Amino acid sequence: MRDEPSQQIAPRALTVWRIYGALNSLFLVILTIVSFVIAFLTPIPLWISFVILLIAIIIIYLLVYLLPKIRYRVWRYEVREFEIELKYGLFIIRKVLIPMVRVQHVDTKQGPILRHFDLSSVTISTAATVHEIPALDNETADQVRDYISKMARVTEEDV
Amino acid sequence: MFEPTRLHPLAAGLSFLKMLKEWLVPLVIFFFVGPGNEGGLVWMRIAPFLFILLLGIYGIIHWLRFTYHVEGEELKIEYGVFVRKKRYIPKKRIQSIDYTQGIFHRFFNVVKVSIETAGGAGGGAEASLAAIRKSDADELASILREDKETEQGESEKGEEPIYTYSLPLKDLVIAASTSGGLGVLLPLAGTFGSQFDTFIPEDFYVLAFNWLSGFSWVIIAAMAFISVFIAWFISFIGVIFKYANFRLKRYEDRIVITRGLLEKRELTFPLQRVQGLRVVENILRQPFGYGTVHVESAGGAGPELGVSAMLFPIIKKSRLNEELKHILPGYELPEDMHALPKRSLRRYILRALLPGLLLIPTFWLVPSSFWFLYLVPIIVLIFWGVIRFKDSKWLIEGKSFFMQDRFISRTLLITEKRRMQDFEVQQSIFQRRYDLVTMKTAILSGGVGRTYELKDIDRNAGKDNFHWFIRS
Repeated sequence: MRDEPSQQIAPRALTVWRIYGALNSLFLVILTIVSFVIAFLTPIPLWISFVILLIAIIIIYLLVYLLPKIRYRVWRYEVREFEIELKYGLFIIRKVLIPMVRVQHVDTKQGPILRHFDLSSVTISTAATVHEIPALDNETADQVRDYISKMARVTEEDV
Repeated sequence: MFEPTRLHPLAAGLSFLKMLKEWLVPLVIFFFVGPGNEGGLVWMRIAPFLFILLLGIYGIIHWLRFTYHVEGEELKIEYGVFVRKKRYIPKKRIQSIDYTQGIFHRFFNVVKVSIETAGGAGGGAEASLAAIRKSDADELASILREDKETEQGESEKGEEPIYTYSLPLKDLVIAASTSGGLGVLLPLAGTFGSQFDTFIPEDFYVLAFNWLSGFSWVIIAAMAFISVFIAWFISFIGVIFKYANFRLKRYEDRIVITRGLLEKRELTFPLQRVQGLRVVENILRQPFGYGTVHVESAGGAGPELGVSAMLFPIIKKSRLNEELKHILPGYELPEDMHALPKRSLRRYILRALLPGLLLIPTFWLVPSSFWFLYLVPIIVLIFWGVIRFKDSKWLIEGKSFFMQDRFISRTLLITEKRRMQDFEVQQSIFQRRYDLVTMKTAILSGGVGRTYELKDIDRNAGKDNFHWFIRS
């Protein structure tokens, strides 16, 4: 009884997600700075800005440190002969099963940040749904892609 | 057929009418607003007529340049007024050939032929021949069908349907009177109202209000009731027109459905493309034991918006299995399904109460002596949660998969393992406490995926289902 998919994604994914988190946090940093400026220029009390600062720190900690860590720890995938199994999620843990015969095509993609770290994501499309394995080594991603497209012998009429 | 052929001349008229419809609004504005009454430019007066004439000429040219013919293994369509376009459709790729007839079509005994091909996700390419003689259409369909034993138009000689189902008149009337179309009409009236807003003079409302306030509340209520009744009546007539003469013919390898009073529709889909059935019981129909059955088909579902076709516009649930036995064996309703564990009820009730949060701001507006009124929405929402819990069921039997849930209407999905595109089991942090999971699957419906989910089933059951889906 296999209960868990075995493969983890590339450790560097953690770094990439932290970068995304940092980029998403920029807005909060700006908001905090603006609130201090306003507090100095207007009679609005300073403690409000400190509250905003505290909230911003908590959210940035979550976005940059904690959530990527949990996401990375949870992410598992396994490509077997007849099916692909994925497991991922933060607050909702999802386990997905995609039969090989249902796979219509597989792609590898990389954005600028992924490329910088020599990573790619693999996108698996069935006739009805699209699933993604984020951030694998370029090599692993290519292997996974080629293996899946070899195994996915989609029969014409069997949609 | 094998030489480039033109459509029936009616096609010219039809494309003219279509263009006219598109240009109607600007034309009307031009007529009424006009180019200003001064200026005396005579040609400005006749400009609209000139324009209509141009559209007519365009329609004729469009018809002249539109040809179709079969060459080798392909249907070749060439068309285009300014830019020549060619569309070649390989016979092999054709999934379905449907006929529709508008009012004008019937007059000349011609049909519109829509040809759908199997594309990947997102539906395939398609072609339509706006108007061709029925006999030509049948001939074309049979040529396109050569060396493949799938669908074609209805009148194939020598082949008798294995089974025929017609919608009884009584059922049609029930369908028409319970068609929730009323709800669709109200926003429609609203939009029309807002459209006319700009034309209605300011003081109209004041006048109307004064006029109305002259009446008693009884009369105003009666008027409201009458207008609701009229809206219901319009939707009643609409359904009658749409589904009168509904006939479903089951052939060896395909199903052909014809329906419609003024506009006759015919649609065909091969049995091997059926992905699943959806039995929907809306709240008006469920008390009478009636429901609607949609068939999910992978593309080629014909003119029914390409999503899913009506297999039975309305049918008594108790009679459904009897009909399905002849039409789609293997898709019968199960006797009994697994209910959810008792501990899910709490979550269903809590979820149902969520919309109640919207009432919180009103708390400060309502005087405390009236707070007991909040009991009404709360009780209604709790009741809704309990019903949703009771109606959530699932069953796996051999290769068949059944899943039922309710939002407002009760919906039952019937499908097979080989039609399920993926399978998902989810667990949120709140569900973990109760050892519950949500299961999800997607099937193909008219070229796009449709996802179905059932919340809060027992974790072990979810695990078993997950393993059932692993190749066996």
